[in-house]
Amino acid sequence: MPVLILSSENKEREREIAEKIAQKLSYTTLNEQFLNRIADKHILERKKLGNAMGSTPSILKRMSEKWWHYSLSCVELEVLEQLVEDGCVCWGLSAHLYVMVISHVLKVRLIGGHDSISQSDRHKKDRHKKEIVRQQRNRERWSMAAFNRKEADPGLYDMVINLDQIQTDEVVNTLTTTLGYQRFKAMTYSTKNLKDQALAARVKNQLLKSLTDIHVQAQNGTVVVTTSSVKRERLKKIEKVKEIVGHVKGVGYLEVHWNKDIMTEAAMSCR
Amino acid sequence: MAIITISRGSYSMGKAVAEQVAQKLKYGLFSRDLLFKTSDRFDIPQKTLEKAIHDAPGVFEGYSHTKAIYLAYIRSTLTEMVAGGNIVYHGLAGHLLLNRLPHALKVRITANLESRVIRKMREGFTEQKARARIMEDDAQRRKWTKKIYHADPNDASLYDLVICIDKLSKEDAVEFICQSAARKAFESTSDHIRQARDLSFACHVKASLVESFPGVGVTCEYGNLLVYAAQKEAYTVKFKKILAAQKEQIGIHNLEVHTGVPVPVHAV
Amino acid sequence: MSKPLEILLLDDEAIVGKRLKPALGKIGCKVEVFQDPALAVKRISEKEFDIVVTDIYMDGMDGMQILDLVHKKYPRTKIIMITGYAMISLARESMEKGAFDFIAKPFKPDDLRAVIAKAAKSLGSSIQFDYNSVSG
Repeated sequence: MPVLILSSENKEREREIAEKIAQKLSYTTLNEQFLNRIADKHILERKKLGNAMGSTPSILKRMSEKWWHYSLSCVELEVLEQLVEDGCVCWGLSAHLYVMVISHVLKVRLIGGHDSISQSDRHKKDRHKKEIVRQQRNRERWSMAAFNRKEADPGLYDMVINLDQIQTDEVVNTLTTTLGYQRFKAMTYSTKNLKDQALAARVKNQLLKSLTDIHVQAQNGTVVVTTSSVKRERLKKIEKVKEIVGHVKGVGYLEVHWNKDIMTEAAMSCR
Repeated sequence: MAIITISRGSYSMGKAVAEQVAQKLKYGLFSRDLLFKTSDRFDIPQKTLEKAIHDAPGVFEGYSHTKAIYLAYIRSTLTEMVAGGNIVYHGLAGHLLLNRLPHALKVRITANLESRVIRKMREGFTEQKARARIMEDDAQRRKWTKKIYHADPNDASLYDLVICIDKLSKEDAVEFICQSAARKAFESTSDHIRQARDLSFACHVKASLVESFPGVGVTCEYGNLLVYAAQKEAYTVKFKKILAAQKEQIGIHNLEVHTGVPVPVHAV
Repeated sequence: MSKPLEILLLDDEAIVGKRLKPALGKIGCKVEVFQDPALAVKRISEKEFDIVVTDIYMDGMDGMQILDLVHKKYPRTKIIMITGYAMISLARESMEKGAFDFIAKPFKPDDLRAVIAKAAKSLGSSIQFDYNSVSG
């Protein structure tokens, strides 16, 4: 069965639409509540994990960059593994940023729909508008830092729907009909693609426990890890990657690509 | 009775989608005809108009007065053509030129670069040339909309619906657009028809004034026209003459000229 | 014992048929292998198969045409598309045109066996194969 991933700056309408669709199609739902299970499973502080999903690392928030990337990789891994069991509506877990080109996954962005909040008071409305712009900027900064993708980029989605003119029930009907199309049926190819992405996430998650600057791709059980370090630590880092990945279930063949960490080398040469 | 604008990048199959939507809804369809009509109406060569709305202003050119004039002419023709509803427009900047009409369904069709390159290659271009041409075209359009409308054509908030044609099919896109056009918000109610007519009046008057008085702003509500101009312009004989002719020609209820006040943001 | 599933396998690479025929034979299927699409079409015109497995990009005729042909002539037949040039648009198009499944090459014989078992199930037939055991 297909998977629907929603993304929106309007949390209330997003939830309403997601729940109605899930109910109509008898799909399971996957949302922020799932963070509780992730926090339990990976022994992460629940509140801190929630913060990591919305803000970038900072000393003030006692959130290191390393921990931040690791905690996000826990979310990515668990969500992907959950989505392999298809027939699901997913929102609030930023899955639109890490679930890429899977033919039975429909990704939809919902924009606008804020007007009803403060239509009467012009002053209030302006303030509200400013707040929305501020939130959008923060989300863009966060999504770029976390997954190197702009959340508002329409290229990430199959469809973008503006809620200013199109009502909740109309969106529900449109998306429900779309998900019923034959072309969104899960097939061996698309399920395998999703499993590959889940495998890559599993490998990344294991590596980020102790290493940084890790990129992973997987296809048909072959895993390619790209990393960087200063030149003299090259062999050590590659060995460590091999050792960790060797214990990950599902990995058939491993390739490690290494790039020189030019910034650190330059900083060290200036000392 | 909706007005549908379909914006598209080159080789995104937006034209085919627009044609099918028009066919399915039995609506009128136009794109380049806008330029033909504007050319006839204002006696300007089509090529000149096309260049004005396609090519972005050069580094030293700025947004020239000539382009502003041509754009006002094009907008005036467009608003007149869509005022009756039942229309699909898939030419450049429909969503921006008609942004004052809340009931116009604004759609963008997107496609990823790779599939667009493949479509261009079918015309006999090498991959490298196809890619370069498409990227150049995108850059021109982006520059143009940024310069004139301070907007990015890829900004999803400018549209009611953005559909990626690679992931969904052409038929899906047609289906969604037709379904959306039937929504209450896009119906041609008497109020919506009135708004479209008001915009058409305002654009018409702006087009008549823009060559001699480029700074004027025009609004129209319930057939009452307000023209915002500098004092020294408003007292000229030419200004008064143009407005008098317009009043007679298009049947405006009431016409007021405001001087010394800033032009409102919603004016054309 | 129920009648064995009859499968037509079309791929212009000889190795594919050579590898898959015995693999499917092991789960009790009767397989006819073709490399030439024209010959496969001729055979399809003579006989209704339970399952047709076809490559997409071949010389002379592509798998999408085979899909259209079989789907129109024998709506009951399950068609499985295999390709080395898998793309999301092609996958969605195949499903829209009525393919039962779409598999990207390279794949393991077990992957195809799992899909055949699913197809058999939807045809009301059964094959001794635990397709849940096949991992990605």
